[in-house]
Amino acid sequence: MWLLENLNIKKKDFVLNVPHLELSGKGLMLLEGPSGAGKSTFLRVLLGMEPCSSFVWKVQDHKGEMDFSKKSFREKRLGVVLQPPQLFPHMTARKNILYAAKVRNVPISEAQAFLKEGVQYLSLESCLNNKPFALSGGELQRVALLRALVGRPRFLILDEPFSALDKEMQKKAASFLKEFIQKRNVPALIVAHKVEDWRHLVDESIVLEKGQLKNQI
Amino acid sequence: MVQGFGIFLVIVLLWPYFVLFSAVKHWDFSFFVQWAPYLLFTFKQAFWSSVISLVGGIFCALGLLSLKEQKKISFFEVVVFLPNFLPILFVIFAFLKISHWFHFSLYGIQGIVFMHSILNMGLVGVFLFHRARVDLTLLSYQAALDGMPWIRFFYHGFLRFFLKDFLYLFLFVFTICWASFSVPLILGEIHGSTMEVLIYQKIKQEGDLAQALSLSLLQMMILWSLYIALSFLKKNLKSEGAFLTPILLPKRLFLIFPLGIVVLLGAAFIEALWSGLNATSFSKEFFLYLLPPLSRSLVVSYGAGFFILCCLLIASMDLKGFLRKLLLAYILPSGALLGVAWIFVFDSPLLGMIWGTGVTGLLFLFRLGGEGLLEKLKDQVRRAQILGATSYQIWRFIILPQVLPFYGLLSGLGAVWALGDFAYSGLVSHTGQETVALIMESLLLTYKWDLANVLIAVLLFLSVMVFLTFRGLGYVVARKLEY
Repeated sequence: MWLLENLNIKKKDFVLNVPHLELSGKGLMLLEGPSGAGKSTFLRVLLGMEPCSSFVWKVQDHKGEMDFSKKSFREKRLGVVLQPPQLFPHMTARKNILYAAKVRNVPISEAQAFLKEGVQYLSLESCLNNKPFALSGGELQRVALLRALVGRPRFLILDEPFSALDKEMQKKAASFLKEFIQKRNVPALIVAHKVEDWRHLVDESIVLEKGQLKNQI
Repeated sequence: MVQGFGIFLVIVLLWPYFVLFSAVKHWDFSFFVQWAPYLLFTFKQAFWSSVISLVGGIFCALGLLSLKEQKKISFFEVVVFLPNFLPILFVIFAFLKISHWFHFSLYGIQGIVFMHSILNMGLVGVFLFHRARVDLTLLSYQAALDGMPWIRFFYHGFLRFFLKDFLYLFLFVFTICWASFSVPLILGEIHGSTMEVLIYQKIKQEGDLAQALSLSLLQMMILWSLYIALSFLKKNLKSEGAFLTPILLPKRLFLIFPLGIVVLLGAAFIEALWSGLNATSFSKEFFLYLLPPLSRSLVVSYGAGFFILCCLLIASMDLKGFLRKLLLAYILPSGALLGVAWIFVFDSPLLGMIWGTGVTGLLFLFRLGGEGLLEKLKDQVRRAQILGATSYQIWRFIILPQVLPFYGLLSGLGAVWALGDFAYSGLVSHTGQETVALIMESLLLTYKWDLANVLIAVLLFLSVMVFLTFRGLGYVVARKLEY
């Protein structure tokens, strides 16, 4: 279970205020809401990119309770796709993915096997040796997704991960992600604008509106 | 390890302050009234140099904006920037020659202003070109579709749009010209020169360290206030947009001026080489005479280049940005006093020249582009941190391969400048320890043009060699380091 407390950010006219939120911390959790609701800010606080001194993120699992808000990026071990999905411009798509495995000390054989499987599933064979400037928006997103998954993440945090994909590829990518989540038991929090595409896949959903928690299903 | 390198850089930068401030027993501000004309002269030359550089730079930018093909843009960027790339001694030498052809004097304030403007115009032009290319593209298309005439867009869409940038660039050039050492040293008159030259005279001719230090303290405070104003202005300069060629503004005609400067530089060089080759006998003695200064020049140049490269890389290791801030905020007490700080502690002219030209080059080059590149990589560093990369993994795989080619180029430039340095090197060198640049300076001051004509060719050849070494080194090592 995830327990989020005192998520409070004030920026000029905008206030994001989530005093208390409990999430199952299992499967696919959807964070939805209209533009300007504060979804991306919510994620940035969760990731530790936006300073919020009072924020607490406690995770309870079979190993006990951990305070994630106090942990460094390295200790958090998150798989993240942000919007826009920025890859390292001097590395090819393949190296971008393998770099994530290397920094997490994932054995190269495991990383290569995952890469092979993921690339095939997401139809990335032709662009694997291209640098990011030569990739389309959709290819960038798929490479960023594989980069987030390859490093044995503890949790996934994905901001509009498939917004640049066509319908067919969205379906493929979503089923690949769902399978990954189920197989490896890695919870994922996904921010999405068009929620219809996700509704049938999610296990839990929270709605933000004007910086306030509106609903939790 | 990073902390150790950081401490080294801090010591390198703060050491002259420590040495100088501990060496002087009392401050001497009693000559303040006598300094006033120098203060006024420094202000006047810096002011006019900045105004002319800005106006010239605007024309250069408009010329560059007219180009569509990337190859042409790159070529003309080099043309516009060329006086900055070349050893300063070559540029001064060439324009002294040109001034003989056209019968005008380059000495005194007009010469200093002219030379400063030639040197800084390209810098302003290229900066404005990049800003306008990003910010004005779509605006200019919209204005053209609306039927706005060229001149109105030039006023509303360019002059008024970039007002803050102009002010920033004016102050930037003003700061460079205020602290300029080499140009006023060779072109300034005895009783009409800058604060920096006065400090030099107080040390070299009068041996009055107390006055020299007091003067440098005053100069430092002025430069500090200028840098504070600059950093405040820089915060307001942000750009976002697409990279296209804006219509309405560009006028290819404006490229004639920078192209003309390059043609004149080239003509002066060919003329010098021709008359030098005819007037000099290339005997064995001549080569033996040239060999020691040549080797000293190369040691100084390569030494300064490596020093700059190492310091830039140390700054890139510091992910928290402390060293970056230090390098940006750091003001040299004075170029001339830097030499004294060295002489106080060590008696090694070559190391002194490497250190002094290295420090002065480093500060300018870091502000010119070294810092901007690190700023651009901030986002990538953050992404790598989120992935869980350690500081070493971030530096080794993300930062280093991306900064090395550019830092190679910057240190190549620093090495070229060190090769042509005569101002700082003149302070620390002993008799019989001269470099090619120092010999050139004394030849120019005594109007012995024949040998100077040959030496300038040697200097240019060495410059190209040194520059290509560092440029190549940056590229090759970066490729080897690619993950």
